[in-house]
Amino acid sequence: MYKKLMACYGKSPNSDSIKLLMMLKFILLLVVLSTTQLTAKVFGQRASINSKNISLKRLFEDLRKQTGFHFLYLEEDLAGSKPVSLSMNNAELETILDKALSPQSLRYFVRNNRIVIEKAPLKEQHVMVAEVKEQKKEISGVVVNAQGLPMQSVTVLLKGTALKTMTDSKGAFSLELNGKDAVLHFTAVGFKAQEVRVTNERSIRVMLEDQVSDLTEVVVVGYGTQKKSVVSAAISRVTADELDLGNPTNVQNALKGKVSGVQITSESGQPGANSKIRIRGTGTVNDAGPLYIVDGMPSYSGINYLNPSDIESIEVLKDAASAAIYGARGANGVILVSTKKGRQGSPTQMNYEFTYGIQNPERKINLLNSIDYQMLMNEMAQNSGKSPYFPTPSTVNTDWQEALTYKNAPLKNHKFSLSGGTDKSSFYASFSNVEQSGIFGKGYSDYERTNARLNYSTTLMDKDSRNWLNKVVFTTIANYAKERRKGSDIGNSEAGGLIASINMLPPTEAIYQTDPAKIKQYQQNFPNYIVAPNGMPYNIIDLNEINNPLAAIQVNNNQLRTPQYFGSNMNVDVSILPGLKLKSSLGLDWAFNSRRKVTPVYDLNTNNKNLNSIVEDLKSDSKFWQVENVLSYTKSWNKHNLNLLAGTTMSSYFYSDLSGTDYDLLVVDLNKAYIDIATGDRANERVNGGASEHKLVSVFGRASYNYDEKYLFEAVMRRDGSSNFGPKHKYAVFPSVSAGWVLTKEGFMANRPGWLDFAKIRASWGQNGNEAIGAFGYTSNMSVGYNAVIDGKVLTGAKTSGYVNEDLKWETSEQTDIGLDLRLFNGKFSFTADYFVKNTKDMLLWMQLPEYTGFRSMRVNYGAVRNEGVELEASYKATINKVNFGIGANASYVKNVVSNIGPDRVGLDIIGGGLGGTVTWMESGKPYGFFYGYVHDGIFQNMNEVNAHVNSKTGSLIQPNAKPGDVRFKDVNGDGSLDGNDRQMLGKPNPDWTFGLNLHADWKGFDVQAFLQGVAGNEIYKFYRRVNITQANWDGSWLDRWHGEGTSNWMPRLVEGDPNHNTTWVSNLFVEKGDYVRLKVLQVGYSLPEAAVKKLWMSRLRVFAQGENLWTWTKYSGYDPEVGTRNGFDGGTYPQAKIFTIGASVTF
Amino acid sequence: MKTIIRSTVILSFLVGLNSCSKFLEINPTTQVSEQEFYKNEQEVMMGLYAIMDDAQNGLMEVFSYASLLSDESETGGGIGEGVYKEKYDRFTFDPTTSPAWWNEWDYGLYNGVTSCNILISKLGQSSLPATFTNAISAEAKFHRALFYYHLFMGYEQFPLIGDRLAPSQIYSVKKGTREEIYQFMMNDLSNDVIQYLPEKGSTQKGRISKDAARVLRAKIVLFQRDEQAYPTALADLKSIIASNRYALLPDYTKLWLKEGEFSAENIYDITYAGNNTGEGNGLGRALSGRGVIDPRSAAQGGLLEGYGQNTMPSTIYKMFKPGDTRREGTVIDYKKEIDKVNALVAAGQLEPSAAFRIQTNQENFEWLGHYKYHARKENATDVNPLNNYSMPFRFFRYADVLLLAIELQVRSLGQVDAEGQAWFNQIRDRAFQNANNRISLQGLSKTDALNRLFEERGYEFIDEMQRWFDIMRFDKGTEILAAKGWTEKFRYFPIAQKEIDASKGALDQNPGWK
Repeated sequence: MYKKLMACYGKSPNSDSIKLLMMLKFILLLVVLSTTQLTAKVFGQRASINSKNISLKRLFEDLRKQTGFHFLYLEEDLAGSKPVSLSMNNAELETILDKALSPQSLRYFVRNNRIVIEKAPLKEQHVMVAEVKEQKKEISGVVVNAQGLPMQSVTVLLKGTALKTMTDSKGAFSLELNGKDAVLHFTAVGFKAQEVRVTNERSIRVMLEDQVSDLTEVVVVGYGTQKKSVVSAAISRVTADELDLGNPTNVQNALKGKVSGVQITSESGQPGANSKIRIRGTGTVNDAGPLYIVDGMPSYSGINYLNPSDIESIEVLKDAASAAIYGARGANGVILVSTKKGRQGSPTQMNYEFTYGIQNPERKINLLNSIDYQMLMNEMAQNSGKSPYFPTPSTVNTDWQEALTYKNAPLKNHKFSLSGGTDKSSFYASFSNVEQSGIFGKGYSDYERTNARLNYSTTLMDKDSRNWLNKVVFTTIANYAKERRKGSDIGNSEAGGLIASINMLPPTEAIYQTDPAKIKQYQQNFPNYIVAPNGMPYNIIDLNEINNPLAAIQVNNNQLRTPQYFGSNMNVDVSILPGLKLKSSLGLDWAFNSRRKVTPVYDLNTNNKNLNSIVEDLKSDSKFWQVENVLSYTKSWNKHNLNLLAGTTMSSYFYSDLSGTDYDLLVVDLNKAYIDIATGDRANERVNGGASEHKLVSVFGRASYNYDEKYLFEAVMRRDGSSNFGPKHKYAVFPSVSAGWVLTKEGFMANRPGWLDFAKIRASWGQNGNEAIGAFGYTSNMSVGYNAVIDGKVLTGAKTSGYVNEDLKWETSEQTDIGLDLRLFNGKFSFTADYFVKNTKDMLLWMQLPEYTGFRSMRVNYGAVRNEGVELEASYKATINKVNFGIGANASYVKNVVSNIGPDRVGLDIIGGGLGGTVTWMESGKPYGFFYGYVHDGIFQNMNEVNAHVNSKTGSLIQPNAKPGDVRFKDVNGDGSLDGNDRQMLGKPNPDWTFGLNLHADWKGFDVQAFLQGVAGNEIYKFYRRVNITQANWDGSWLDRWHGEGTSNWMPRLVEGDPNHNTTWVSNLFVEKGDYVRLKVLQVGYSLPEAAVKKLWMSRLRVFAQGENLWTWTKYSGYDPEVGTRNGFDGGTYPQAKIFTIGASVTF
Repeated sequence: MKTIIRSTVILSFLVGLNSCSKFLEINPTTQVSEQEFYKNEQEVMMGLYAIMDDAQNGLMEVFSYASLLSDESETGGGIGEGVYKEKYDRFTFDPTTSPAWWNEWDYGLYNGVTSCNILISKLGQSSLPATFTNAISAEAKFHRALFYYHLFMGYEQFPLIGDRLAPSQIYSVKKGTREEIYQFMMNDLSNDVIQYLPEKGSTQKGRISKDAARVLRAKIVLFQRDEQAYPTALADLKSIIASNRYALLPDYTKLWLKEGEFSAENIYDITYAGNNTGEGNGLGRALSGRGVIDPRSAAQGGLLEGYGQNTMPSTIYKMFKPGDTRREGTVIDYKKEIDKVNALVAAGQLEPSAAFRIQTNQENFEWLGHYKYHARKENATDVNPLNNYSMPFRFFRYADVLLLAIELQVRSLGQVDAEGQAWFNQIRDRAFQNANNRISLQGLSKTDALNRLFEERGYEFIDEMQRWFDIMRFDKGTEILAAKGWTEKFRYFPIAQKEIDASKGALDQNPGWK
């Protein structure tokens, strides 16, 4: 095997310096698969044929039986072939094929143990290799692919002649030339043709690039694959190359901006945080996230636990026709993730990549410095009739943003993969490790993920002797991922938390307490005050939930979460009869989570104390299995192509958890965060646990038919049963139909201009469902925990869990899509456009109830959301003067409207505690989650203006509490008084436009890529300062506050208690434009010249440097215009980090 | 190989096409369905505990609002923290800022009403013995009346929900008129109902008795000013007095200590527990002084800390007449606590370094505290004490029975008789620990007698969730609260705009706030 490996690279080991490396390769090979073999010898096979007038098909079948070689051809290519008569005994396969094919305008080549038959180019017809005569000079060389691996069966043609040859298994060729100068033409299916001029060289090396031709490209669809040219649904595909751009640490980020119609908004910039993904707009109030299918298995854990480099492609099923095969769960679109597989018969390839990055906040918020802050505080006191807060100025000036930032937070990423295959089996194995620290709260926001994966496939049986039950392929996938999150989620809450603290902390508060008198006071009043690692006591900041955040994270964030995911799939593919296949699969997933935490005794401030050290330990596990059987039948006759598919699937998910809390620890140490470290009274310890379950049973079918790949039809039907619904509505049926018309196949298009390669129009309609609600929404259960005390004993009370809706049923989304696919200029330009209308009805909504009902909310089927939009995707590739350019762009427009909720206005996101109430709403005819509130109509400059703002009939003041400097709110309904009826729509959280732009260029080993992404047309409700934290800091815009006649007509005066509701009413004072364009990735790479790399025993070495989130163009004044947690409501969002990365990627 | 394949194919189809309706049946893991519940006495009792939970938490939220609304406390909490309570303290609330005790936070009185309605409806269909169901139903109805009474005093008009709402009825509720709401509460407390309640002697600590229902009935009658019902209410109270089940505890200041818990004076207590169960008395946390560090032991009367959310004003301290022990039984003078600790140090009973400490960073702080429900070491556990203060809230006291009875006498007869005077003397004598400070009510005009009674109730019931309602009942708003901004408009809260929004048109704003 060692030798074979050497042979593969065409050299033998001659240097001690590389021995170590070779050993490593060798060991890895042994470990991964002892059965790995290298590409088999292809030619040299012999066969005998004695037949008259047999069809080529029949000939190929005979040859297959004799030689074991499979023949691949397109039916249409053989359509016009003549029968052949051959009489040859023990002849070489090449000879037989040459004889049979040369009169047929057909040619052949061998790839991966298969003989591929294709139409010969016109020039080659009737010309045979053997006709070459005169020989003057010989040129030899090697052809390799982009990965540097030798390519077999590449046709090498001497331009201007019929002289040609093919490369052998080592990619080598030799050709005799007529003269000194010559141009060689290299062609291979699936690769870009290349011409090389040779003059004095005796030996050359040629690299062929993959030809990404959309026409032959195959896309993954639900339960199968389809040629892209015959797809009649709206599916977008993102390939590994596009995904890997920017070396993303998580898949959701990798996908951002790359697919039209998909809006991805990060929920937080904290490492490991999730994103909000919306396909074709927000379709429902309910879980509007898509269904994730990873290698055929629905994922309950999202996709962020995956290693992005393991992904071969991601298909986004956007319309109902493509998603209907996933019926019950497809309403919000489906994201199909296919992981990389090895290729049968391909040599082993090893890849290692390392990147190192440093991260910093992309921007700083303009918060007031100490002097300005004191000025405003004193002004506010004065306006409120109080004595000044800072009668003598404070010299402290703390920049809390700086204090909490972890500068140059590191990001490390190792990825290793190994893939290859023999003629019967293939494998892909990978291992990766990512370590990323958060840009805030050093040491308390660390993320680490480790992934391991093995995808293995083997042919169990391949019997040529019969055409029934002749092939069985077994595939198994095993993957493991472990995340390690140290610290706590730094939530995006206006109420408290790190980001809110940064916004509100007075700059007059020092980080540390240095005044000995104060420290003495601490010792008395706050005996458990916190001392920093540097030995200095932290300053105690006594503003309720807002305290010294450095002290707070030190005591409150000693938490370690380690989710682990283990998944395995086993598939058996059985060929039952020609065209009829059965695929049976069993998938198993386990997810385990552990959360351990210790909290010391502390005094953060008067309201934040902990008198007993605490240990908490939570374990949860979830088990998921799925059994699936899919029968498929493919039949082609004449120009009819039919594909039928039917299947069943059932799945079961079970989750349970158990947690314990105990007190008075022997020692407070996160490494010892286990319950037994506690020494407290056992009566005080607490244990909790719970479980939940979800099951699905479904049958589905699909019929696809096309005539000559010109007229395309498809119909899908799925019936689902879900345990989430009651007996009345357990089952639901989801149908879809679609059709396409490939215009360029029509006869009347035969004389079309040369630049128009391909044009297809398509249309689809279908329905999908959403059942992503908890169980038992249809029935009333007793919930406990309403405890009473009688005779000093705590007694557990029980109450029904709420209002019951026995008629609870599936949410349905109905979608119509019209699309256009174009390929122009020899495949250089491709363009796709879609128009869609998506209606989601009977939304499964937690309806907020009036509080007189005694329950907060009730699950109902209620209302509809309509998303209508246009999606555009275009790409262009060109080569000018050896520089390859590529540009890809996508944009989508979505108009979102809620309908069918009658006259209701339903509240969504709320600012609690009487600080404004409900901010975002839904209402018929308005966008989902629109901001609704009072309208700022300028500032009262003086008392006369206050007194002039009157009810025209009664003459009474509309704003009797107003003083000069307060906001004049618009009496929208003109009734002469200001109340809830004077609120109106102030903006909407969902953008009109979402877009991405990808630019690429490479030249002589150098490559540059840039990726931009953004949204337009949305608003953000920015609420960074709570009025009930009187001493909270302000942002710079408040320097423009009203402080005397004519000083401002927008920012009101500062006053405590806010009698005029300047800042406690939801109003457009807080609404800002959310448009942004972000330079997401800018990368420069260099691939070392082949010769240099060869000496190092590598086939490829690329080094690169990149910047991520380098620049954001936005007018939004908050931390980050990506506000993912609540509908455009920003109470302080953890921003995305700006990351500079360097890395290297090596392929052996 | 063939066998393997065949069995795979057959097996997988068998699994795949298995009957699925059974497969889809899942059962709740940590809950039981409502249909299976309320089947035995213990399960019904769990329904009652849920109601009591609402009394122990939701109802007591009323305290902090009512206390700020009245003159018995000022906005407290840390500096600047109280901005939000000031709207109640200074009467600047309006429909957009004031849900108040309808449901400002997670607790609200309607949660309690709903708990009662659910249990009462379940008991109506129960096949358990009538002696049991009648008794529990009566207890639920008492609580329903109790919750409605506080909504009544807070809002006057609100949706009167007398049964468990069906989902279809949520948006078709009707606001009750004042009279309807009054009648509803009186029905819940009618003799037909309360006959099933136990006598005080056989009541568990924390549960209610017939007497508690009678007191509540009398208080509702008085708030409604239902003159026709005064004689019956008076008779109720007289029967309580005549029962000799109750007596004033000799020392007013001890009433609030551990030794005064569940004393002969207590008619109805709302109870709490420690032991890290989270069932502590939230008032201890809200009212106690900020950052109190007291070296004294529980036996020495050691205090614990709280958030100081309602500041005790010196006006209350100064209101008391000299010699009235109710001053010390109502207001803590923290400076005196410092002295007491220093005295213990001097006497060698505490370490020399021991000192009483308290933080002064409290809005409107005047070194005074709330004596009655201040957190004390004798009522706290080691773990998480702040959430586990266990002192019961003395909800109805015998002193109230006496003063209510006198008031009913005055209001129905126009004057106080000798019996009434004797009741009044009991109150005064206990307060001053002698008989030298008696005040004669006999011979006073009705107005003067009522004024005198209002004043006495002020001394007796500060910090007992009575003051604000007394001010409203005696129409003393302008007299006492005008300086704080009170006008007639603020007699009742507006219905929160949020609630009107959520009711989808079922509710409109109450008169006075339109």
